Amino acid sequence: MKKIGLLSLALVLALGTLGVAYAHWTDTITIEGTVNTGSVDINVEYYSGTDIYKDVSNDGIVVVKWVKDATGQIIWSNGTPPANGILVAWACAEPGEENDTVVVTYNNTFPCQNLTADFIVHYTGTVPAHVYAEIDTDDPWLEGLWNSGDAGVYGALVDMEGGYQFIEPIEQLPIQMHYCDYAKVWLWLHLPQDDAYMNLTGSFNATITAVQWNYTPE
Amino acid sequence: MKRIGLLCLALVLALGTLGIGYAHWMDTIYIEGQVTTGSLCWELTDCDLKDEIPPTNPGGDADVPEYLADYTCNNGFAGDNYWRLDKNVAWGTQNISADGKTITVTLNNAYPCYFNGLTIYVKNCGTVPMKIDHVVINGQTYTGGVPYVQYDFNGDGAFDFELSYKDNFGAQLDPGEDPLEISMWMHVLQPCPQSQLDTLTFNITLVAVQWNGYPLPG
Repeated sequence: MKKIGLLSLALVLALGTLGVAYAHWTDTITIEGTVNTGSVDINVEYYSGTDIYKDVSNDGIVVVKWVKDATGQIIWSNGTPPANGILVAWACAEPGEENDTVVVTYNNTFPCQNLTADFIVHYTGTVPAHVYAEIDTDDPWLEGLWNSGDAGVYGALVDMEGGYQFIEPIEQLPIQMHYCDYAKVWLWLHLPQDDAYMNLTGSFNATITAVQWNYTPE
Repeated sequence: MKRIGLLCLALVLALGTLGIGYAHWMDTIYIEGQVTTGSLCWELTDCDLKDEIPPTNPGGDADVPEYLADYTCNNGFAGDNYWRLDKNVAWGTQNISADGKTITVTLNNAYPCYFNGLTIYVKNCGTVPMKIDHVVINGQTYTGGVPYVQYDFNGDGAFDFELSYKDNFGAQLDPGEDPLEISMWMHVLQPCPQSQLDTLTFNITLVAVQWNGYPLPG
């Protein structure tokens, strides 16, 4: 009986001690945190190309460059085809079947004439990015052109306020883009005056990749 | 036990580092490219010789109608003219190779003062407009004017044969266009040795270039 009394006393004391521990005054500041992450997002908005005509009336070369929007509407052109012209060669970029894909075609290319198929990208990411290009081909003759500098990828920021204004390619990728920037990406080809380049067909795959600007790819 | 703990820690740190390496943000546009190059091709489609009707009798036919008679001209093609004689003694034959690249012309039973004219017709069998850039006659390159060439077949210092290539340098030929006519005159000279009269041979090479490459650098 005495033991039971001692056990009860110990229990009361223990509970009392616990009561002291919770009995002090408290006040709390609560922090509710929200993190909105930025984005790296690049999209193709305009597609362009080059048509090479022979003007039969004076045997001259007429180069018609154009820019179309995603629906195929021409938004800019440096001129019109000659009335008495023969379309000899052309290059164009157009939307691919998948999202974020572009199909680029160069047809009947011939020496000593630059042929460019371009597109204009819109950077809608909220984090600045570097835009890089990589090209890969299984065709040695095309690889040779890339390696010799007779083909390449150039880029430049373009001011689309008030509509597209033609600019020449000025720098090789990568370029840096910020939110809402537009940039033109040129894929150009130039065949040397060499019979070895006649009647060839080749294909290549390229990627235009925007990477957050504070990351440097190896 | 302690070693296993260290190993686990190292593994976690390594995977963490790897995670950082792949953690950059990026967005990619994929480009599928196709390139076809054009071709420069021209070929012989037809040929005419002014005199290609052989005589009925070996050694020649006398008193033949005018349309059968041989031609002659002044030395050096002076007067830029030719005319009929009164006999049919010599004649020319021609053959265009199967690939349309070579024409073989033979002057049969030719004799001093005999004249014949060769007209060839060429068409553009490629995909790019072209221009005639130069001709190589007897090893000599001509790029303009009306090339006049004399041959000394036996090396005795006296010219045996003369040829005039009519000017059409820079003439254009578009793919699919009607054939272009190219003419040349041939004249056997008095010093021509009899022993070689049946085997007069000469080579003419015609070189064309895509129209925007004309003229080729010298």
